[in-house]
Amino acid sequence: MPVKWLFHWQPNVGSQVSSQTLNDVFKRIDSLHATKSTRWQITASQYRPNVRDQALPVDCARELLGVTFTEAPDKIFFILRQEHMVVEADATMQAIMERLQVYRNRLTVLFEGFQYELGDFRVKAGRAVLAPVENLRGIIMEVEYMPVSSLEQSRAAVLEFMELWQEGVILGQFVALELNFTDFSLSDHYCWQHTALQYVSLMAFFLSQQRT
Amino acid sequence: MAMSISQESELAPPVRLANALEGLGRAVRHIADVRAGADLLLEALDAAASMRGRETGNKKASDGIQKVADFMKKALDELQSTGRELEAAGVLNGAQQRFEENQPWNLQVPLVSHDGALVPYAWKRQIAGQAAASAFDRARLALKAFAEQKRRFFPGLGPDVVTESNSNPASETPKTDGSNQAATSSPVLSDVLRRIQSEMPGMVVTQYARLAWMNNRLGSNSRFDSSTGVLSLSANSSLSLRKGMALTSQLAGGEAPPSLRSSEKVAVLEVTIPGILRAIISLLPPGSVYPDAIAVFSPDERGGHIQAWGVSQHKLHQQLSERAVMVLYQLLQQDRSSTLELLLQWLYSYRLLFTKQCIECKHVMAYDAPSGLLFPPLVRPARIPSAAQNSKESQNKKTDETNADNEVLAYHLGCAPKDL
Repeated sequence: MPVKWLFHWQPNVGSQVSSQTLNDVFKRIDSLHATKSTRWQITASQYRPNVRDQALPVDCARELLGVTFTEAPDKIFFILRQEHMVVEADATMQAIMERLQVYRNRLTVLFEGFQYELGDFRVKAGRAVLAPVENLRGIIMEVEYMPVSSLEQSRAAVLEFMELWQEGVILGQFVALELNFTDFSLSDHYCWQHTALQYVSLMAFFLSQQRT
Repeated sequence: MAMSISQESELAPPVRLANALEGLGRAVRHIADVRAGADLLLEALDAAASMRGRETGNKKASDGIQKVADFMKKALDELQSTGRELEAAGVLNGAQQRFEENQPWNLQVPLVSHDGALVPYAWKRQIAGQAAASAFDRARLALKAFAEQKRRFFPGLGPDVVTESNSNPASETPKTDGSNQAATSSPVLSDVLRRIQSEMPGMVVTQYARLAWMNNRLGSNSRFDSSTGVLSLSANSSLSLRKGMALTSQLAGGEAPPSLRSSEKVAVLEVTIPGILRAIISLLPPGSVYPDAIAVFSPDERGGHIQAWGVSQHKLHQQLSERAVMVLYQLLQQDRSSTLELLLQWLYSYRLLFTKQCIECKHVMAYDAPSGLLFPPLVRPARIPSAAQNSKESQNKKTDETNADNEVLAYHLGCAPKDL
């Protein structure tokens, strides 16, 4: 599967993240003669166990971070950070969880935007919003380099692409999300589980930013 | 249009053509107006006739007729002036005579301007002439290609017009069967592959008989292998489950695999550099070392288009395939028997495609101007032995060079020196 790299926008000191930034990003991508193809949406949710009786000890995972992709509609991925696991399940798992009321959805972060094709690169640019309130938490970009499936091989290509693309941008820059995939027993060959881990980390990052 | 006549004659024929066509369009509209005016006149007369009985709208009737008459007069005047303009531009002059001089075939006079008449017909004649010339050339080349192929595929059939240019004495006989190449200095496929495997760790060459390869490709159309990394050993093991006709070569030595049937000759080589590329080379005749076609793909691509003549889905690999074909033909022209080995060495130089910087600009990715896309450095010099050098000698030199990764020269498409 082609490797995807995630970047989030870091504004320079003094400027704020706003939806104007996202429009600027779209314009910049358009100016490179990319072809706009589809909308995309990724939902990342945080689940906490539903504890009815406070006295009983909790014998399950304290926190489930789930993520679904419109590109892979029949799957849902769960990350368990404490246990360092990435779990892949069928999409009906969500319905099951709701029926059983074992875990409840506490927070949801929605990533959505437009997808562009630029030669062998596929770029998704969009924003991250907290679902019920719809307030903007950040601007993100996902760069996918189609010919390569190995993380190490794609590093130089993708990072140089971002450098070239960001030449001359002054209000801030896109910072790459660097993750230690081996912690979660994921190999160098990229697949959906890597993507799930990346988006969940991004969600955690945005959530943590609000508290500061 | 208020252009004077002198200005007209200075314009280029296409502009005059356009002007003339526009004028004619206007003339057509004026004629339509006249026609409509005639209808209106008849109507007005009719209305007047029906009103005469009432004697109340007497003025109106005549007014109506007057109005329509004015309208028609105006249309006729405009038609006349347009006609005069066109005549001045030479549209209506002498076109008939000129045309009949040039094309005595009783065709209709084309409605184009003065010298513009000659232009489209001159163009047409020129294009027809070029088409004829290129058709002749193509026919000649096709005939030559057919003769060549007849000589290769049907060696015993009829007199050989083109003599064999191969340096191999054994193939002077019409038979080019791989099994006859035992006693001479001609290269044997298994030897070449064994040498390649030992010199180039990390590159895996898998042999197939042609039918087995076709079955492979068609069967794998619906499967998608997403879980395994592209390790060479796992690729071999998953392929051997199929049909039993796939012949896999070992990493350590190039001895003939036990499942090789004596009648099956190796015709397709799949060369994989894990994580970087996969190249398909077709050999002709099967079992020999003469490559016929090459195409480069991404290791994860699946589908029936992965053939030695196929085109990859990715722009990068399309470019690589083009360069591979260029290098293949250059090597074939120089020395046919060492082509396969040199080609495989050239492919091996791509093992750092995504991590090695271009020698010129010191970056990994660069814009390729014509297409506006980013590519890694994908130009690698192919070592073509010069005619005076012995091919063995140059081979030894190359093995020393390719031992060091840093010696491999890599260029972007735009950075490469022009002679590569």
